[in-house]
Amino acid sequence: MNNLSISTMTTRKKYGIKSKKVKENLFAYFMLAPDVIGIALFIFVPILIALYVSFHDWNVLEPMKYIGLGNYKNLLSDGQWWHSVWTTLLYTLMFVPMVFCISLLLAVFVNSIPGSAQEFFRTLYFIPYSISTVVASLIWRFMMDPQRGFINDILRAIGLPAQDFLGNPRQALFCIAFISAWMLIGYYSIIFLAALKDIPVSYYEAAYLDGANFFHVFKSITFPLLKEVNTFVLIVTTIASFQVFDQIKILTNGGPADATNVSVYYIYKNAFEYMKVGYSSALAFVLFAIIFVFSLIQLRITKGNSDE
Amino acid sequence: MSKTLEAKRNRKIYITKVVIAAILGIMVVFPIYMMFISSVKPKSDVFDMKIIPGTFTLDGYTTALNENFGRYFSNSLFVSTVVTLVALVFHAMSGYALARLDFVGKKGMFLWIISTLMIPFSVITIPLFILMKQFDWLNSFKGIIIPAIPHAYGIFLYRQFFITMPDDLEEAATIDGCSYLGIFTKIFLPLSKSISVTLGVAFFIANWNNYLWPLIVTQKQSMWVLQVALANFVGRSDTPWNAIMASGVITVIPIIIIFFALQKHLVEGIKMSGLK
Repeated sequence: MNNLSISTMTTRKKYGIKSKKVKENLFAYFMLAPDVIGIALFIFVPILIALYVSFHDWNVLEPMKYIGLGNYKNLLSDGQWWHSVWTTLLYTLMFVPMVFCISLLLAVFVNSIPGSAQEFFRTLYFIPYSISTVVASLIWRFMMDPQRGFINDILRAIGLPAQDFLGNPRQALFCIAFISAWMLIGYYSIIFLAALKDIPVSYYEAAYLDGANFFHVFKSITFPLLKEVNTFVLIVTTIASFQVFDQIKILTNGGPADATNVSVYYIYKNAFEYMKVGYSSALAFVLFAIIFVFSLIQLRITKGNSDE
Repeated sequence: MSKTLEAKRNRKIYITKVVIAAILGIMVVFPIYMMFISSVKPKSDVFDMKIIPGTFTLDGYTTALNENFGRYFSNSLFVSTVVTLVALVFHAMSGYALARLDFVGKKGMFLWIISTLMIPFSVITIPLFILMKQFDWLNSFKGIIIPAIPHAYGIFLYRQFFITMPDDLEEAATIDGCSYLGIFTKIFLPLSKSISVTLGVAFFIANWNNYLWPLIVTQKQSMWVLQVALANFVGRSDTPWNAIMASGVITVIPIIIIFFALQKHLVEGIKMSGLK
């Protein structure tokens, strides 16, 4: 941009510009330094360490032993690893549709309430998002207590048998997905709501004048126009579901009978309980590769949007 | 006449909607309400299913405080505050440089920073732990705080914010003889107050609620933050439920206060994390 003006300037001024450029460069590096050093040291170096350690056999106490791709070969035949991958996938299949559908429907419903009531309810649904996974876990452990919990009290009151919930291998994973969904529905509703506000009201008016009912309008106007935000939410929730850990660490420790032993939990256990740090790093790297692919898709979508 | 009929019908629809919304709202918030009332019930009445406590007691809170929850609270407060403030300053600086300054390698730097968003924390936890051990930062505030500061998300949002500001801001300042640092601190920083509050709220809550990293970096009980202490407290078989609920309340109180005081900023932050 400055090229044209520079060429017409006298030599002395040219030097002035040059030293200005140098100054600007130095100042920019000064401004970036703290974050760049931080990112390099605490995000990039760890990823490189993980890669390095994943080629070694290491139990922390003894020195590392280089075994090449040994850990990666081992994981292929590790039944527990594949079980954890399968469990994670099951979790994704429960969590993602649940969060997606409920948040979307809730947003559409809240959006149809006029006036300040809308804002009030939006806030109300959003409260669980602000509490931590630890607190959410303890609340639901209390509610789902097999003997005395509130939910079983209700079930008994309406004549249904009490359930074990987190203690039952066939229910535990769903309970965890449910708790996570409960926390996040308000959050994704807000994202959906923001997108709904971008749809011109005239679209709806025209459709209703043509005699369309709510389901028609949702199917042929609302849902297609939310395409971008739909994809965004699907990918972000999928990536999040691959990384579920806190609730499982607190509520089930991977049990009962390995029913909630998801990948991140299995990685954690290998490092901090079995002391197989090299192997655990290899597992983490495989997980990273999977998440990376999904992130690339997300980045493509987000980038496509901001280019408009 | 048909008009008043229609108005009546609309009114009916509105009321039905509000009633449904209220029922949904109660269902969503009820478990949190249960935590609050169970925290003031006596140990023996916690599972009595009463929605309003029969006997009111602060026993749960006394037990929680005897378990050192005061200490964990101040640890949490210190960690979250420091991370938030330092992160805001650093990210504003980086975001500003990426948005308003010309320098060699700008584009590459930006892409490099953004690419770290694709590295999930669960993948770097173990190597980060190894690194902390090397630094001798385990069981220290340094270890909890410093690795939590760098984050591409805040940098990116500051950049997006600064990039939208008009060009004549710098020109006027340069004519006035402002230095580079002066332009940043005297002109741009004051203008970024609103986004700083929005990001500050998001950072504070995220760090207050963070569990995985403090869990891994602190074994010593005196260094625990609330989330770690609480998870440990729940995991012990002898812990009375009213005390667990009381410590839960202690843990969420600051967040609830922020929630109601700065709710607009919270919502704004979420919208930003969406598609922008």
